[in-house]
Amino acid sequence: MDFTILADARFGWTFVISEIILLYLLFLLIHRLVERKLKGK
Amino acid sequence: MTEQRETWKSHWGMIAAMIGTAIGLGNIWRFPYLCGKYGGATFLIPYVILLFGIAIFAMMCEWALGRHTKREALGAFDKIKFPFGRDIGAWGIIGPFFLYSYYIVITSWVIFFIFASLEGLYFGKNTETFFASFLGSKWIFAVHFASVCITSWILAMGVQKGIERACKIMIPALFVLLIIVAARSVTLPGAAEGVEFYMRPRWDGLLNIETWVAALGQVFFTLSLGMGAMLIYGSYLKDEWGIPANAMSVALGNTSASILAGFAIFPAAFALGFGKTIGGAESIGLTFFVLPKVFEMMPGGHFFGGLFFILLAFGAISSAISIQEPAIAWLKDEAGWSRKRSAFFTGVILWIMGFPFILNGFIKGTLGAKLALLSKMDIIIGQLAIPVFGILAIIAVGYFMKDRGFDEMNKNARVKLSHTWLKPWIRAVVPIFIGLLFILTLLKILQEKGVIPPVIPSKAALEFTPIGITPVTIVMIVFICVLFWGGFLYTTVKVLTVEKDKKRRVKRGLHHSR
Repeated sequence: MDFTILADARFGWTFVISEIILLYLLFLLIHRLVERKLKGK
Repeated sequence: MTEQRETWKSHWGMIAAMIGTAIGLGNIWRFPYLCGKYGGATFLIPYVILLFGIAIFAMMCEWALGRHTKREALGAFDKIKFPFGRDIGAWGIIGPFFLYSYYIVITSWVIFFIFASLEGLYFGKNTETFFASFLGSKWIFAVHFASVCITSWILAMGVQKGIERACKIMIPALFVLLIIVAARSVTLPGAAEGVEFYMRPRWDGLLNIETWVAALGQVFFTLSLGMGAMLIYGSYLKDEWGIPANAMSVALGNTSASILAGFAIFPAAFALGFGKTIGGAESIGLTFFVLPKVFEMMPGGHFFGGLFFILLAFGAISSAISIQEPAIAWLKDEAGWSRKRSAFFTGVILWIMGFPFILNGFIKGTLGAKLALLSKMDIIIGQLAIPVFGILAIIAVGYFMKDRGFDEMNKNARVKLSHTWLKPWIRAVVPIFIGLLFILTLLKILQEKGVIPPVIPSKAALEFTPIGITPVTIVMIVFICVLFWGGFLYTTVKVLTVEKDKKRRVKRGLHHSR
């Protein structure tokens, strides 16, 4: 398989920035859900 | 969560553990790479200014916030009623994930080089080519998987305390070995050029805003600031230990190791013909193709190389454990998962997150291209996210804890910091300075895209032309060595003597009362 795109500057920046933002938001969502569940208990 | 929290047993143990956690790849891999990229001493000057002007205060703020609230990042920001405190504090759990995702890849390089050194795989070869071919080999999958398994297994078994204890011996040993390597490096024929590169400031480079942003990121990265780690350590600090002197001791001890790593790498890099590589895209792997060549030229190179990478692996794994731990603690405490399940789950996610950096190594191209994605992640995390979170901790102490924060810093401190200058420094000078750095960076990006007319120097003249060791170079060498190595010895001895005096006085008091 060819992974040349990983070394591409535009793809690289988009990839790392979106990975950080998406996972951070996902974690915040999970965190809120867990907190709500704990409060419910 | 209970208010009762365990504390460090001994003062020296605390200093050793903090330096131990902070000494690792940040000093031996990241510092030389950035220092080389931004022009040696030209990088050291902003580094020193930002270390004393900002990072030490950031460390004191994280410790004060941790000790006062007795909480980890998420709870600490929430307890002092910082706006969106729980969301911002959540960075202390998820932020380390991003750091781990590429930090463990570099740890796996270290593990590979243990075997490569013991077997002498790179002996007689071009180490840069050897390193590049390793990045595109099946070995990288094996060592990466092994590294993730090691940290997850240690955390699942709950034996991280044992690793930390081992680090108390391993890290000083690494320091001693680094002195031996540095001694070999500076005595290589042609090493003077490297010393000159490392210690002769080229003043025009100081106008490059990127140098300052990189130096800011490095002082935060190397001291484990802006990730919630020092905040957690702060919550374990005993009330009777003064924060300012201890922060100074830890910061100086850590930087001493970085300075030493520079002396081990730059003279050798120039002596062995890697001078032109420094500053290029491939310099992110500098440590991994310069040091092996030094080991090859040392008597008993197999042994010293293997030993060096074993010790470095301990430092890297202990740091990786402290990076993976907050997420496991969160899953255990909040989601009610078992330690083993949490360690397995985080391990799998972190293993997957490392894949893009590994697959990048399989492309056909230069070493720089094989490391392109990893270097981008390092810029975003190390130069942007970590300082931003670190600054939020400073703002939290300056504006939300107010006098409680400043009192916490000075609590039982022998040398107290006057509120007259401490308050404006933490509340205004530090945030304004950092804000300015980020604004200028943004302007520079816009300028490069042609959105605004050129107002900021866009490229520093970092070309290095050797002129020999000048008086300025000698002054710089003496200044840096006395400041860091002398300063570290002085502050540590001072901190420990004060502690001994206090204990003696307490004993005498008890004796009289009897």
